[in-house]
Amino acid sequence: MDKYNNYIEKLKNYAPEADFSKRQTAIEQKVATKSFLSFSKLALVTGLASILILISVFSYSGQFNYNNEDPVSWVLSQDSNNNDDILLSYILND
Amino acid sequence: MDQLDFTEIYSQHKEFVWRLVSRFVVTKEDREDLFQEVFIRIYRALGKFKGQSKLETWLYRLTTNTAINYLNKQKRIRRVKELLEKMRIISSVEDKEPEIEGSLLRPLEKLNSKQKMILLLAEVEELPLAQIAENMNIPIGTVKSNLNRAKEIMRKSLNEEDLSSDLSAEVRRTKEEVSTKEEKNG
Repeated sequence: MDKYNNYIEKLKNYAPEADFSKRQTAIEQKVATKSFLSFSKLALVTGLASILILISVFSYSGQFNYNNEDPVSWVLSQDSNNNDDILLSYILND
Repeated sequence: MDQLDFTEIYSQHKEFVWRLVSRFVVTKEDREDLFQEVFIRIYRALGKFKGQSKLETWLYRLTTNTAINYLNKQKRIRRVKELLEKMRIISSVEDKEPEIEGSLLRPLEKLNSKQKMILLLAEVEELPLAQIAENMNIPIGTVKSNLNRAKEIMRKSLNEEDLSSDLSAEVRRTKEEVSTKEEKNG
């Protein structure tokens, strides 16, 4: 048998001991911890996003005063007012 | 798939994975880390298994990919550490050279990660080349060429190792002879 084949035979016989049940427990614990962490991250991100949405809704809600008008006509009226203001300021400045 | 299936998979394949990682990485810590990493990946990927290939093929593909990526990552980390040491950004790292368990695994260190995996699967696990190609998702020609190259490197490395041990024995003998002569003369 040459050196190479002899070496391969030695490799075949090489068997470090393993405590498989202990390792399985470690793997399951690690997976559970990682799943919990990713769930926590997801919950945190969702929570933050909800807070941001709520903040934006509340901060904008006071600016819309429809006075029982149809929202679309209200927006258009706001727009035309702005245009009138621009036109007026333009005329006055001139 | 659920937890029960993972337990079943673990009990059926743990020995193969352990045998493979034991020869693939050289330190005890790496061996344990890699074994754990492989099964964590299997656990997470179980839900993605569509049954398009055999479960065994899918598992072995996951195992070989994880092992090759692990070794490549370790090598990259070592290279970066060495570079930082040269640039004197960090002080000399104690674990610069991994402590290889015994001398048995040392010759395998001459191979790159793919060659090492193919050699272990073909020569130690005695898997057919077609199965290795399927497991690693590479053409059979690539398996053959890598295996031949790996064998060539191993034969050369084993001969060199013998030569160097012969040389060191010769040097030791010469030193002993010189000191004996000196004692006699002195």
